[in-house]
Amino acid sequence: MSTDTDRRFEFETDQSGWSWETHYKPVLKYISLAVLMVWMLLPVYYTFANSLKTPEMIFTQPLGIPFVTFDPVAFSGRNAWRTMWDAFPFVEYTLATFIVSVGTAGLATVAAVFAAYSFARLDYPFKNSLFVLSVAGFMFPIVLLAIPIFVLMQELGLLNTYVGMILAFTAFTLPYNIWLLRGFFEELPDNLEESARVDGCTQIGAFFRVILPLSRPALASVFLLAFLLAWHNYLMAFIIGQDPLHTTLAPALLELKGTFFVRNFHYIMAGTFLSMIVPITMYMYLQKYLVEGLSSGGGVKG
Amino acid sequence: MSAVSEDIAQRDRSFRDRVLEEYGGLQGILFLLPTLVLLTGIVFYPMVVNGFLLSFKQFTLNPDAVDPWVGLENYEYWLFGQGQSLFLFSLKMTLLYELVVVPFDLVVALAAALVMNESLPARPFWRGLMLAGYASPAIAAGLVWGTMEQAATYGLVYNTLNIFFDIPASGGITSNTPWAFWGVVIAKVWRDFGFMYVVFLAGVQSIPTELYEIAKVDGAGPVQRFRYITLPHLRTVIVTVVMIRTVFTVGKVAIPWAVTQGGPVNYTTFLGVAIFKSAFLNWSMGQAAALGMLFAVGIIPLILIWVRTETEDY
Repeated sequence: MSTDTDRRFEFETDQSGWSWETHYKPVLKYISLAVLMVWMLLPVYYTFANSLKTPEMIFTQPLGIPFVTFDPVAFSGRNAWRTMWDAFPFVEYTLATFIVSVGTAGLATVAAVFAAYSFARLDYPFKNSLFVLSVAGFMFPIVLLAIPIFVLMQELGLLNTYVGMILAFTAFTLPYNIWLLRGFFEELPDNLEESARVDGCTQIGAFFRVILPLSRPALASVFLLAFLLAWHNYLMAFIIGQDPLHTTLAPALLELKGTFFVRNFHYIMAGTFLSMIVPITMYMYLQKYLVEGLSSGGGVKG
Repeated sequence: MSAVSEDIAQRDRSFRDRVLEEYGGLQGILFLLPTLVLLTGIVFYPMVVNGFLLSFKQFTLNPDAVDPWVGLENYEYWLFGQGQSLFLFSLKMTLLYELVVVPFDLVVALAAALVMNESLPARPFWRGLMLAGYASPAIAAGLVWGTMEQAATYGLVYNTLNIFFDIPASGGITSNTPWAFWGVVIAKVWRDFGFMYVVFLAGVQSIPTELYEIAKVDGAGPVQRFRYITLPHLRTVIVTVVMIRTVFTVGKVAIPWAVTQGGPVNYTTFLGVAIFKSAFLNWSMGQAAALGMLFAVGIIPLILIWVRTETEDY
């Protein structure tokens, strides 16, 4: 697709020798891509490759490529991925992380849909102040929430329970979800409910029959973001789940590092890789939804 | 509009409309109810009772015992007492951390967004991979970078940096004073720049390509095009994102904790880490709550500015 101007432009720059568009830019583009990718993926590769080695191999060839420069210890019985199940309750941790993340995302999404809808579409006294109050929690540092929530959970006897962890995680995922969903609801055309009302729906009926089905993609992305926030969180999980078997992967990893650092180095790498690969896969697969969720409505602002 | 015509408009509205209007308000509150109950239970009530009031008490671990009031003692501890040196040092390091991490984040994210906006083979795939850091849990990122910063054969970062700088081999990057800070910064930027990158990528994509074509015809070079087209378009986004990142960076504990455990000694004990240590390692919750309140005093103006920019379009 070269128009006249394009051709003239290329011609002009070619005459003057080396030009940005034809010579430097493509080179610089691929060099930058390579540098960024190496920087981005080195830790991921390092984690994966070293999870397949024995501790001695990690010392002798830390960058060795699995199946190429060394034979993974997969079948020798010293495989981190297999021994892990016996040495450390990894299945339990992963399961716990999954339960807590799904619970948090579910609770935060269901509550947020109604709240965000009312902020975007309905009118009532003190709406703006209530919105500010509901959303400010998202900006509030989690460390500052951690102490009050810990004391509360201790009083309620919810320490070391999934319920306690889900509630604690909801404290910071719910405001975020409200914020994102409000941006989405505000972008929907104004006359949607009106036409449903003309057809005999009540306001609530219109919400359930028209608005909710339309917002399925937004709900999916908000659910995922909440899931990932919960999956990633360390602080809340650490304070609520002090009992080793009722905590998520993030605090478990640090505990693993404390228990066996150098001797069972490959375990740490296997565990770390496990905790990384689930969300990375989700991001890759659902990138479109996530980027839409982050960049639509309130998202671009944050 | 005069009062009379308003009156007429009022009368003309049907009974049904007015009822719906009334119920509309009720519905609004009804829709908000689950959120209000949840947030009151897990944020507002604990923040006031266990956060604010606790900062005036001495916390005892026994949940049945009544925590005795100590007045301003906890605040005195940080401002004038034994905790003063840690508080001041940690405040200084926190500001330094912000001043390094946020611009570093900004530059990397902007560069990544510009590269990913170019035409590349398999672009969606690369775009997705750029989010690998942001998708990883902060603890995992901190652990891996912390490992690579060890002085051993497997410490890739240490071995690379050691070519250019002379870093003591005992403890590597994570346990030697000026280096530990940079060790945390690398991990932090790797983990967190993805957020800004996504926002910038969306911003760069929304710039009409015709602008660049016109600028090219007018003889503007790449630097000028970036300076006069790209940057002005991204300005508002940059300002908000920098503000959000500033507030977020200060309260996050996981990465400094995973990389250095706040050490060597207290060198990377930023304010968030200091609160965390004091609350959950020393179990002096009252003191930690007081430090939290001091922290909140600094952070609340930033949050208010953000809230204002968010709600001003109402």
